[in-house]
Amino acid sequence: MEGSIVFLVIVGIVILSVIIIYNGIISRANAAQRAWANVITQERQKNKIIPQLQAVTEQYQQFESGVQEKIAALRSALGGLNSDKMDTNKLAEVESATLNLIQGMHIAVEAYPELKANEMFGKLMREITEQQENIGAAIRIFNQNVEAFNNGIEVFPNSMVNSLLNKKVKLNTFNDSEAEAGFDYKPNF
Amino acid sequence: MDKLGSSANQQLQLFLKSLENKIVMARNRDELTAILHQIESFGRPLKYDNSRYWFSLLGALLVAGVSFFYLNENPQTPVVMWLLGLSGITVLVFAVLIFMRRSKISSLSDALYLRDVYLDNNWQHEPFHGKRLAAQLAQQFNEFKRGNHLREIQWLVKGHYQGQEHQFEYHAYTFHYVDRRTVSTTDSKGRHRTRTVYDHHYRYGLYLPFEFVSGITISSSWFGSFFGSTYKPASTEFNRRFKVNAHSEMAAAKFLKPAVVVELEDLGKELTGLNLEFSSLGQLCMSFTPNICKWQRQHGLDEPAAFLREIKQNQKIPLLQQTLQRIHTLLRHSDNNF
Repeated sequence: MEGSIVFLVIVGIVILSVIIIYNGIISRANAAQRAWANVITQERQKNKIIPQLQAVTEQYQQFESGVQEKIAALRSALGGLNSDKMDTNKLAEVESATLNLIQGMHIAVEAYPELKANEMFGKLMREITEQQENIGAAIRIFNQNVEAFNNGIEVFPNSMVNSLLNKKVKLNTFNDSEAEAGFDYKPNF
Repeated sequence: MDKLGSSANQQLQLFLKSLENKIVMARNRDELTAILHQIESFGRPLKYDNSRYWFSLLGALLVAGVSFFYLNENPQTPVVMWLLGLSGITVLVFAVLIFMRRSKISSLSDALYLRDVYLDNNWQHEPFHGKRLAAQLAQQFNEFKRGNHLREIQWLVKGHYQGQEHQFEYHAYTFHYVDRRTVSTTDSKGRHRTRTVYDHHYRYGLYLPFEFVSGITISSSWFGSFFGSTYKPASTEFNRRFKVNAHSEMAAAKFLKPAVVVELEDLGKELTGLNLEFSSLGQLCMSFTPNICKWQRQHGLDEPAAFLREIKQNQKIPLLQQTLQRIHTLLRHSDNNF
């Protein structure tokens, strides 16, 4: 009798542990998905400032021609983002297009000193800088959540529960390939 | 030699007196620099020559010692008893005099160093009544509702921070609160006893105007998070560390942009027990467990060269500056650029 009670208690603990691990994997996967959606939302904030940027550039003909192409490239890259599909390559394209636009704007400021004094231009630059900070932060949060998720499916006994029940695959973190190109060191994982 | 020592001590005493007044009156960096120049030009360490006091103390000690041994052998000798009493008092008087002279130099060093810390950190004294101020702050912030026996602000300064985009006035404080509880014990004979225990706690923080956000509490403990709806941003790390309560979920979502979330994550790693309360009156109270306004004097006026070198260095308190910079980042991400 006692033996069967002990057995039942052990079975109960095992079942409870499996449920907790299963639900943990689901909630970490959802957290990674939400963090990804957050990154996309932050990227799409750029759409808000594009019309204002175009309005300012219209006043400076030469500036406009150079920067318009970069604005168009950013717009098209933003269109390729999907909040349901974690495509870090597309995200890298948007980041690269943003970098090109910011560089173009800095070059324009040197060519047009009066542009620097333009109040709206100053506000736009500040807004873009803050947006980039938010995107950087959203990517950090995404990578943190991905790490928590990957740990959650790879450590034992979670790996066993995942292979039998959840069947989730490891997620890729976002790497800035342009920044990475600046280093000779490559981690060997 | 004695006369020389005595006149040097008188000269030092007058100098310290004038220094004391000037330190109290010093309102800006120029006035403090003038005091430092004066100390430099004094030409010798600001240290009393206590040799006469020491000789007197040792002499009295010797008499006391001899009297003591004499009384051991001849207990009924009133004159020697009087002698022992008088020499004992003399020892005590000179010991107190030496101690007072030393602590005078030390307290002046403290005052000068404190003045320098205040100037370097743009701090001003603000008159306040500890219990009354705690009660006033408790009307806006739950932080000051801790403690069932006593709540008081023990230390307060008003400061100014100049950032690239925003500048703000802030108050830094030390909050002391006491919890009273009754403890029952039973001794080996089975007798019950109750006694009252007072637990003293200290928390530190900053409060300042924060007009862009209101009605949000971000707390690392259960304390103060009793109202409104809860909100969880996307970061699992943030949600593990903090709980967010807000009058409106929308206000919390608008404020907790990714850059703000990671800033708070980093702040939470630096400051244990961190709570942020944005009151409905547009004020922020950021409270935590470590004292970030701590300073430690290394040298004193008795070694003027090293002390002046120390004073001339910038005494900006690094952890305070870092925290103020983080508050500035929160302001920058909460305002509207257009």
